[in-house]
Amino acid sequence: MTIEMMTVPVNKEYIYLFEQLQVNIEEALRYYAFERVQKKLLQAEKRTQRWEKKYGCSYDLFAYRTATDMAYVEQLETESDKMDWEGDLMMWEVDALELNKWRNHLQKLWKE
Amino acid sequence: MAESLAETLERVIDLCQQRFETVQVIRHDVYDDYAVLWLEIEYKVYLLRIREVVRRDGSRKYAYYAFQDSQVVGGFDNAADPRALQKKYGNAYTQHRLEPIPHYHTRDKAEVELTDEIHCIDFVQWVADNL
Repeated sequence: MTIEMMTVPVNKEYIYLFEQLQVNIEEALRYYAFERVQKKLLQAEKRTQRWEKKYGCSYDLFAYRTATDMAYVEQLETESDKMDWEGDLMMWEVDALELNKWRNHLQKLWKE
Repeated sequence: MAESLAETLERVIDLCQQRFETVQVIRHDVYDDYAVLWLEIEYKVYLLRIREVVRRDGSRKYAYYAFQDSQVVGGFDNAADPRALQKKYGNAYTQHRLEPIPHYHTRDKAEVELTDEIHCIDFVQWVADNL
């Protein structure tokens, strides 16, 4: 597997400190990336779970049913908090994309 | 220079803040390939809910709705609504389920009318003309 490397300018005080602490910089960065990715993943999970709870299904099923099933849409619109399900759908789509993105990032970090 | 995703949605926020007194930003996020906006506005006896997703490839999804006491007074969106799709494509509408289709919902979503794609400024004008 080819690993691409980059050169990044860093304040040399940090390099000195890491040496004093006997901390491997790449490991430190990987640990920090893990933390940040997990935070993003948690946020995306919370958002998608909220939508799943509201509509009782996954995003994919909701997107499919709202585009193909008129009876389902008409039923949705009998509930006042679902009258503009179209707006919920587009927000949910973004949250689902973000969830996939951060899950993929986390998987890549695990594999390294 | 092409407008960035962030700039596109900032223009929408500015427009609404100029035209309305109480604009609440529920969500405003900018990601790599898309940006998301959700505003809620109190206007007279109405609640205006403005939601928009803009993408780096230029495509947009929008839902601009006016409510009174939780009932839809009118709404514009371009979601793949089966009623709008059927109006445009007849019985083959399910084959177009991935296609955005701009349309307008009348009061209580009783009827749907096909429209051209609109922007927030058009919805703001509709509000001024109709509410």
